[in-house]
Amino acid sequence: MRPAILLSVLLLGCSDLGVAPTASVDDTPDADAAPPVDLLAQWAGCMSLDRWEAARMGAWASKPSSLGTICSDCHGDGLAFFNASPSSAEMFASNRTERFVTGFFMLTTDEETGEPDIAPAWAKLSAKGEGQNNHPLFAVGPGERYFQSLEAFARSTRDARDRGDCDPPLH
Amino acid sequence: MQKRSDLALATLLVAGCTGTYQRTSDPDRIPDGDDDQMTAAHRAFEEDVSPILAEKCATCHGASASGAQPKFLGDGESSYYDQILLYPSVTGDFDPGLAGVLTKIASGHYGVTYTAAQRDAIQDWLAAEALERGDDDGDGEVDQPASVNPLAEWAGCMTFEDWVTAGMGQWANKETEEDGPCSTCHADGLARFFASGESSEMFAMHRYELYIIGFFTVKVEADGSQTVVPALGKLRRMGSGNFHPNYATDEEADPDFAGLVEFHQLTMSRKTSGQCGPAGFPAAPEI
Repeated sequence: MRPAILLSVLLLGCSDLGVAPTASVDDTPDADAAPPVDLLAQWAGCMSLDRWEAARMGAWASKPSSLGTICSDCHGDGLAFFNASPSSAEMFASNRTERFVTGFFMLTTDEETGEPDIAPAWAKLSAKGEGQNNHPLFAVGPGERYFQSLEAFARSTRDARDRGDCDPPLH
Repeated sequence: MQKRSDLALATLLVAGCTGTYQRTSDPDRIPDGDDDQMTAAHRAFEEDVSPILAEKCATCHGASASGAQPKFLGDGESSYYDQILLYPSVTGDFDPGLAGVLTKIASGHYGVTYTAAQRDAIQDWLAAEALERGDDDGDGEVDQPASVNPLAEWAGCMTFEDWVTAGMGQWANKETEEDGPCSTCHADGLARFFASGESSEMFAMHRYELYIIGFFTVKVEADGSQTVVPALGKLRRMGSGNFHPNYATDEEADPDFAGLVEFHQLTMSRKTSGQCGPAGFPAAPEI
């Protein structure tokens, strides 16, 4: 039996069982395979404090809610894994970590290429601002200045990523 | 030649399909003495999920693997459970729809796949964890999963006895510089701060999800654990202008701030000594 046929039989047998064939007989990963890219880790590596400050992202800590409170009142220490520390530098450092990077960003799919990508977590932030799960209300939308800060920061981070001006992936 | 080919085919089929999942437990995997202390969810993990992770994930996500990918399995099977709980992105806070251990594989991850039985085993474990960390009311539904909301767990630890001991009811009488005591505006819960003149009512309301943030928030520690802390920063800020009447905010000299710190300590003592009621906010009264 030819190797190709043999392999086909092997793969067919495994797919019937719903089990992936092991990478090799000694069960170690294929050394030649490209490692999976953790896009959020890569994105975190591209986040810089300079760009964070330029976009005024630290102001999110002071974003007012309908209760007269501001984000940092509840999220200053990371409540619900959203970090809005009153210290902009601390907020930046936290928001680069795996635990908090999804506070502002999410994995998405590029509409044109169909490739996975990163985007601001607009839907989540808007839902929270509109009262999801009893969250205090806050202003949302394209014209809102804190949202504009996030858009500017995302844009500058994407540009940095595209030109390779990043630290190594974090996490 | 034909025999050699047949032998090679058989060998490859056996070797290539080692991913076949057998739902069996290995009694040697769990150190003696620990079994009785395990929760049902933990036991389900050890018996049904750990073998899957060992087979499918450990090569790349164990502590000794090279690369920058998360090492959520730690060093050896005995550490799997403790380690994976430190990675909410992997467990999705026990929501299967958010759990990377499922979603990563479903969306394609190095060609690794699960069988239906393996998926079910992982989902069952996540559900068991969510239930155990939930409201524990035995109805099979997770109304307030404490794993997602440590404030729900905190609500189960708050007692009226501690509330009275710490003098928390006095917050209703806390004077402002311009507009009288807190209860003037907050007696019915304005801006989700409930300061009724009736201390028992105020206590009851502060256990609800809507009002518990009046006095408390959550600090996420470096290891991912979450600790409920008094919302001192907010209360200080609100008493210092910021479109709110001023009030005394010295947490050491002011008896109301001191009372909050004491109430927090008393409640934390109950939590650490296992004297809490079921985790979860009270059910809303029927109207």
